[in-house]
Amino acid sequence: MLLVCAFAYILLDTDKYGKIRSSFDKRPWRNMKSLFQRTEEEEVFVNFNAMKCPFTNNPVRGTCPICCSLTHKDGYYHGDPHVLHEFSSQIVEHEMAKEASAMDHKPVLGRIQLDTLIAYRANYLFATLSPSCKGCYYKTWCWNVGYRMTWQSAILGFNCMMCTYLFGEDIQIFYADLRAILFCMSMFFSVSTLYMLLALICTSVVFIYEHPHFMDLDAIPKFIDLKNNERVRSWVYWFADESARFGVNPTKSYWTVFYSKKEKEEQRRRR
Amino acid sequence: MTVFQVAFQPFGIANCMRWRAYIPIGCTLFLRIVLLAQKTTYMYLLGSASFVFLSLFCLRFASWCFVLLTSLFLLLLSPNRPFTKTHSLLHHRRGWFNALSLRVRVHSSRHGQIR
Repeated sequence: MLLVCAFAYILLDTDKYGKIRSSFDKRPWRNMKSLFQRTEEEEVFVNFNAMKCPFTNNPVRGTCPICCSLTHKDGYYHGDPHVLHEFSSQIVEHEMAKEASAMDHKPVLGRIQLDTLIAYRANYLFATLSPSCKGCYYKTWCWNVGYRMTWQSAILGFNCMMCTYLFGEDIQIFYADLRAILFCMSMFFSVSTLYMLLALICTSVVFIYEHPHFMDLDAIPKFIDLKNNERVRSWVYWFADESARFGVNPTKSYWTVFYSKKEKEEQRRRR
Repeated sequence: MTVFQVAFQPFGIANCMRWRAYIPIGCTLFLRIVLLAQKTTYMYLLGSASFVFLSLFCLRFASWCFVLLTSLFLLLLSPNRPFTKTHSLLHHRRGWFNALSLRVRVHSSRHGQIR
């Protein structure tokens, strides 16, 4: 299983299959200019009532803090519970933060954007992300948070498997021997690595396929024929995140015990 | 850090997979039952037979994967490589340097001079 994953990691680094990954890099769903870009006119007037969300085709309601796209609430990832997210979360967009700090034409705006980008964080243990638009969420989820988590799982699975050769069956912990426990842990991490990697690739493929008006359909490898091959299509959609489809809100639901009183109030207000 | 990851990452994995977390959990439980079952039981025999079958299949598959991975790595490291982008990441020499690095101690009069 780990060998298959290693093979997939290498393929995703090649020019041919790496397009699934690189097609997200320029954030093609953007319907507004970035704050970093120099514009000739000082103020940019936009008719917000006429604008449509790129992920739902509904009227826009808010702005993505990362790519400045205007989206509907169903095209926006509303974040995860604070208690899970804040525990060892890390900055995601270092490069954009650097750009914001170097923005000399509007220093105050640059400072605000820098704070926003520093507040945009990911948790690589609990798989949580700060709020952003659906496109930025899937970009970060598939090719940063989830991708790194598969690496972590692969390393853990491999370590556990190697440790089974080190420890004998005579070391007893709780009710089983250490070797058997390590063997089971290795199985858990290896299977989850393989599944998560497949899920990430399929989620990206479905996101690209479901948003053809801004995503590059050529990024999907030819053998993944979603249009004509029903079997391939059903497998890919089974592995992919259901929210990657057009018009579906990507926000995850959690048990209510994870939410604080304040968060519950916020959710009620949003509805 | 590894202990930390082993302790907390399964929760993250469960958060990613949601109800499909039964796949790795099921595989792990099956392995656990087989490993800890008495050697005369049906479960042990069934499990060991399936593992022998799987390992034979996997060994064959793993050997193919090993050959493919080795050849890919050799291609990456060879001078006439097809994956130039990856190779350039591995062997960065910063050939565009036209001034001394700030870390290099230089005489004040020559500072900032383009060589």
